[in-house]
Amino acid sequence: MPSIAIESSSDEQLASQARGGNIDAFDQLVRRYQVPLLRFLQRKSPTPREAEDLLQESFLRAYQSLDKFKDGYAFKPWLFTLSYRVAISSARKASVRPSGETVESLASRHGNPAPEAEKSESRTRLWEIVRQTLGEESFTAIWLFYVDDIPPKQIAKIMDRSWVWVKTALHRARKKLREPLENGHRDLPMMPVMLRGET
Amino acid sequence: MKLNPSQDILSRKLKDEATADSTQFSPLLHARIMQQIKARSGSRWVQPSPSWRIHWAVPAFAAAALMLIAATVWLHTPRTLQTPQVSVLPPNPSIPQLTLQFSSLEEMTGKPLTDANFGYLDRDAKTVLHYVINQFDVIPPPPGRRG
Repeated sequence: MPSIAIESSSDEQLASQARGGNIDAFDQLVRRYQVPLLRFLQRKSPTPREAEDLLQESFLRAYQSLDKFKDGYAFKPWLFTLSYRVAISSARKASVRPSGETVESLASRHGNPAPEAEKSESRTRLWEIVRQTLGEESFTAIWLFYVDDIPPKQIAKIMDRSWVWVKTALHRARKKLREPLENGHRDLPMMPVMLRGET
Repeated sequence: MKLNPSQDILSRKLKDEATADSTQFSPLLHARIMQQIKARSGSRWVQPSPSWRIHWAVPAFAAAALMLIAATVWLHTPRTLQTPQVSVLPPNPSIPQLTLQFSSLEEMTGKPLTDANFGYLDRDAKTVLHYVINQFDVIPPPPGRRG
């Protein structure tokens, strides 16, 4: 198949072609979802290296499960479902990050960050606050909704939760994050306290 | 899901912070993933190895040799025409020949008609028979007839 046709094909068309043995079609799927899936897995892995391993395992399982992917369904939620389960399974096997760990302790564990790293960490600090404030599962639901643009019903399927639970988690997140975020990033160090209502 | 302006700010900030990291497409990571998939995904893309062919060649050769031997034996086996078996049927039943044997006319008419072999005849036949008998003088009249 010409590369132009592959690049213009939908995810579902590529999945169907990959199921028939077209290596270029699956290559294109890996190319499309490497970055968004890696970002998702980086939030669930203690190190970037482990996130890359989980990414590789996710794509491998996706390829091996292509026969189970039914025509007419969206490929993106299906792939995220596999990846989410891979991450959960990996977290159960390995020693995962302690639940009470703070952003500061995370920073200190990785040593004194360089200026660039410090800048990057300040950008991701918001999501760490979301995780600490709302919990790991709500964090995942909010990430999938706001970052990967996956509808709540499909998020419910990915996380094996009810649609009502996802809607509730998103509502709680909006309610708790709206006001502090509108005040800007200078409030970020205080946000966990503010969000808990312990002012 | 509908977003009001404040929620739009929330959505934008969350997405900006999620995508503002240094994560970029990595050709090396992509190549590593594809290499692992090809290596661990069986024979969907991988050509069969020579060892695979050798593995199947032995039973295939044995099966072909067995079929050849069976065909040779079948071709060289003398075949005899089987004669049809004729079953011996029992002889047809003999049909008895019904004959009227009269030793003499006297014997035939010496008995009353009712006791004789002609007793089964009807009245007209009896009358005709009496008439015929009466035409011969040598034949005595039947016992039941006087005069």
